[in-house]
Amino acid sequence: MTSIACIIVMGSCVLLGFMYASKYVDAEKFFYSFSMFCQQFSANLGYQQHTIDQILSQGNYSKHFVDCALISMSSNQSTERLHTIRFLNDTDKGYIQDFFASIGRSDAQTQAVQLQFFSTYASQRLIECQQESKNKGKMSQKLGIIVGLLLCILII
Amino acid sequence: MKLDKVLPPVWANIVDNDHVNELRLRVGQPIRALCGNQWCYLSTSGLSSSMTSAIVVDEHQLHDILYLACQKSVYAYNEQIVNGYLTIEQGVRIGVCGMLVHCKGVVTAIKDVCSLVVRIPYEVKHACDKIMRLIAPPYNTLIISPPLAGKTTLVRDIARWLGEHSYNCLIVDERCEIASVTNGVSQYLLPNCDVLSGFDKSYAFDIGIRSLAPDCIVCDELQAHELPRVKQCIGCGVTLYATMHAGCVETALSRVANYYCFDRLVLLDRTHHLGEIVAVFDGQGKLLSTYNDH
Repeated sequence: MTSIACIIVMGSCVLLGFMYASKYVDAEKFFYSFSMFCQQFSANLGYQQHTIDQILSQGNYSKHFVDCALISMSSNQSTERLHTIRFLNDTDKGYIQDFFASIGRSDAQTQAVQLQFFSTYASQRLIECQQESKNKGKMSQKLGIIVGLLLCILII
Repeated sequence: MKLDKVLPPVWANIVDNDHVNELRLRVGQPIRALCGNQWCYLSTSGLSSSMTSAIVVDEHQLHDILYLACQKSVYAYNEQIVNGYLTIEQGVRIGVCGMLVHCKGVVTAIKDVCSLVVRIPYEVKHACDKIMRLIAPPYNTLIISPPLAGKTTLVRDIARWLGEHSYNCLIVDERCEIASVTNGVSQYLLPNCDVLSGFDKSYAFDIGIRSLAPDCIVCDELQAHELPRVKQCIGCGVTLYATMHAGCVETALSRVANYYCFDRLVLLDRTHHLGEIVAVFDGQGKLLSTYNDH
């Protein structure tokens, strides 16, 4: 009985730790996708000029990023859904909405100029997210394991 | 539905159900629709002869329609837009009216879009069957008519006929209207046909003949300045089928006479119905056959 309780407690704590850490992993994946999209979009402007939907379907982007893109570009869907994405702060949401509001609205040359700004932003946020994932993400996972062990000791 | 991704659902439904051929959207004006040979107005309950119940388009709606027609990627279609047109899925053609923007002598965009003319094609199979005995290869054929008489529909059917009769057919689809290729697939069943989409005709004739070895070439909307290249193309032993805007055979002959390119001229009209074949003439304008199916 005690062993079962320890296993449950340990498992729950580790799971909570990993769930908390996933916020940083998702953020890293999101901004990696954002950065990759900017690069691929830029390359596409000077080459085949595929539509945005085609670029999104061909690339291996994170689900959160594709959802953001579709919400921001569609006039039918409320951008309130963006606010449910927990790892994006208000500044991020503003930039992302502005980004998808501007791409696809003008000729290739203008798009290339607009893209430079957002590309720089995406790259900077990617570096920040990678750091956070490395520090806070791993710390959350370790804390989950440690708290689980402590609780197991208390139970025993 | 052809325009469900571009127009509001109610409008797209009416366009599809009533087989509308053309829609004219002008800012601040009621939407006009051409159904068969009859002009009427688009209202929320359907087509109507009354202007009072018609839907009036505002500037915002027009811009949205254009944006959606470009699949939310204006840069991918800007080249077409600055030439005053846009061809979208299923061969729907949209004429764009607005103010040209120039930058250092180059046209870069159209702004303040004030009207859109949406032309919806419908495939008419076997439209060319009755005239093919007169225009089948090796007769180089020019199809002539005023606008909206069915030249593109007929030349598409000619390409189909040629492909079905084992001719290797090259379609020079400069405005993506004949074969309407989307993602590498034509919207129409055109066997034995190779399609060069978006190519300038002169360039396409050159590379097409060298690389694709066609028996026949099909193209649309020939301009007077392209006739020297047409003559070169025909001189390579390829049979050419082309269309040209002209009100009558005499006008067309006056443009092509010096080049001795065409063996047959097919005259279309829309007085009684769209795509009405009136007559077939030889290269000198001598009448070969008339058709009266109204």
